[in-house]
Amino acid sequence: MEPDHHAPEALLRRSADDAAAFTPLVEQHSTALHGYFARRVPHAADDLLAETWLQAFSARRGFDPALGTARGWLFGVARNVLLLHLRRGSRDTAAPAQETSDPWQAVDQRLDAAALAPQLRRALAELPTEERELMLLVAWEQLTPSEAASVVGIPAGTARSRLHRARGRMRERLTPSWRAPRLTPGGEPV
Amino acid sequence: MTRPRRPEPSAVPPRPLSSTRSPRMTSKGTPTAMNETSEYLDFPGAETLQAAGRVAPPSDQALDRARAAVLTAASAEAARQPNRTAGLVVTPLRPRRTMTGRRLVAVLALAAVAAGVVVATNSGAPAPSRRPTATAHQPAAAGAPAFLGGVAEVAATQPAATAPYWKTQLRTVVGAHTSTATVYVSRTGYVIESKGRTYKKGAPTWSVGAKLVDWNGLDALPTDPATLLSMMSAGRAGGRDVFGQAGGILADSPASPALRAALFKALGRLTGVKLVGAAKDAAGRSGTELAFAGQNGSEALIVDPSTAQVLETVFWQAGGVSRTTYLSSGPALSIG
Repeated sequence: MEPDHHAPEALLRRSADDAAAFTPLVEQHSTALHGYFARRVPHAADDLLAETWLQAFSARRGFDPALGTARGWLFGVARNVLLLHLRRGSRDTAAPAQETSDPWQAVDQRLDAAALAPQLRRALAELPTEERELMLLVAWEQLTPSEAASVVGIPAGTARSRLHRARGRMRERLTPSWRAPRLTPGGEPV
Repeated sequence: MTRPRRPEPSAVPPRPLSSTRSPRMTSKGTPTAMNETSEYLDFPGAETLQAAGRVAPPSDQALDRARAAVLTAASAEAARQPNRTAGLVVTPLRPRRTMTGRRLVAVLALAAVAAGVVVATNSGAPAPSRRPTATAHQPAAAGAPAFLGGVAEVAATQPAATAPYWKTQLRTVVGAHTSTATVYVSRTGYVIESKGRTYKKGAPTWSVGAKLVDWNGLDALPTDPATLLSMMSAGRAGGRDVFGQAGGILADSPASPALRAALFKALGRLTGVKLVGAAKDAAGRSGTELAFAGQNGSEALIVDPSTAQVLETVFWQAGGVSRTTYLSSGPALSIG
């Protein structure tokens, strides 16, 4: 197969020496990255999008196509920007530091506004934070499990196992009892 | 702000087709088969959850800011490593009105310094056709507010000066005449050294609307961009355009970081300011050029986005061109 010179990976790779190759990425991925922020910190989405591109441009030489897609890499940058923003915010309000990029309150407000069924909201709220983050990266950002793994910085297998467990928990809480698969104490479905 | 209830097409953005990605979705965004992702979303309510993630697409302003962020970063990098960053052109996501005029060749353009590709250079006497003119087909001012917003942030973070003098070294070219000068501004007056001679003058003044203000007057100006813009616009018939007023204060005055930031933002709100692109000043320094076709002539500013310093101002009038290059501008403890 012919290499695709317009593929985001090729552009990002080439932008290391040719900054002009970077600019199509802004056009290709801004909507998706903005959506990531709009769903989690709606009031800061515009700021954080600009900050993400600034960071991504400076860090572009660190992208290695062998380690994943450009999309996954860009979402990884976005997640770091979000984390920093949340830490900064919690420092300002003297609240305990956020350790994840899962601003659950904002997400829960979004689900509330979307009139999401209470059981579904509760089931999501009860997911372990790291499972919920992966679940939302897959459901909302349409990342593959491998991309979601690279965004969060864990091995792909770990991400798959967490997503698998998350699905099990969601099924257990949302399926009428006769269909619900039982979970072992360790969380693995049987 | 109300949340859009209606599904937005961008909510689940169609992913660009790429050979490196598994074809999980068709171009219409429908699942092709039971694939890995949908496997993990196989629980009751998953579709409801996905629908709850729908958001409105980013505004044009947000996209402009994203582009400006890259332009600023690339410009700063090009200044540091002229051999590494080649020409950069950011094109709009959506079609915009076509630009006219040889000067306005791109929405945002950063040309390679090393390659000698300069989009809009101010070296040499500009041909009359290069002058920005107000026409019926005004080029879209895409990018200028975003760029100026970024520069304002840089300006706001500069340290405030406490020294008694503000020293500016400048070179002015009007027609065939070139003059250089060093100006020391104080609270009570200013001293100009030029051609070995020293001139002392009264309080220095900068135009703000119909008024002239000195250093103390600058400190008393509001730092809200909207208020500032209306003050500069007031009673200026026959006077200097807002663009020139702001450019003058930004170029050689001891304005505070807050006031400088507000002035850059005010320029971002001013109708008709255009982002021309990368340019070199007469001293060969790289910056970004902004242009404005005013009532009394056309003006341009070359700004270094990494320092928020004005490198050069150019003024075109029926009588000719004047160009002032600010070789340095900053606080000084003493004269000399």
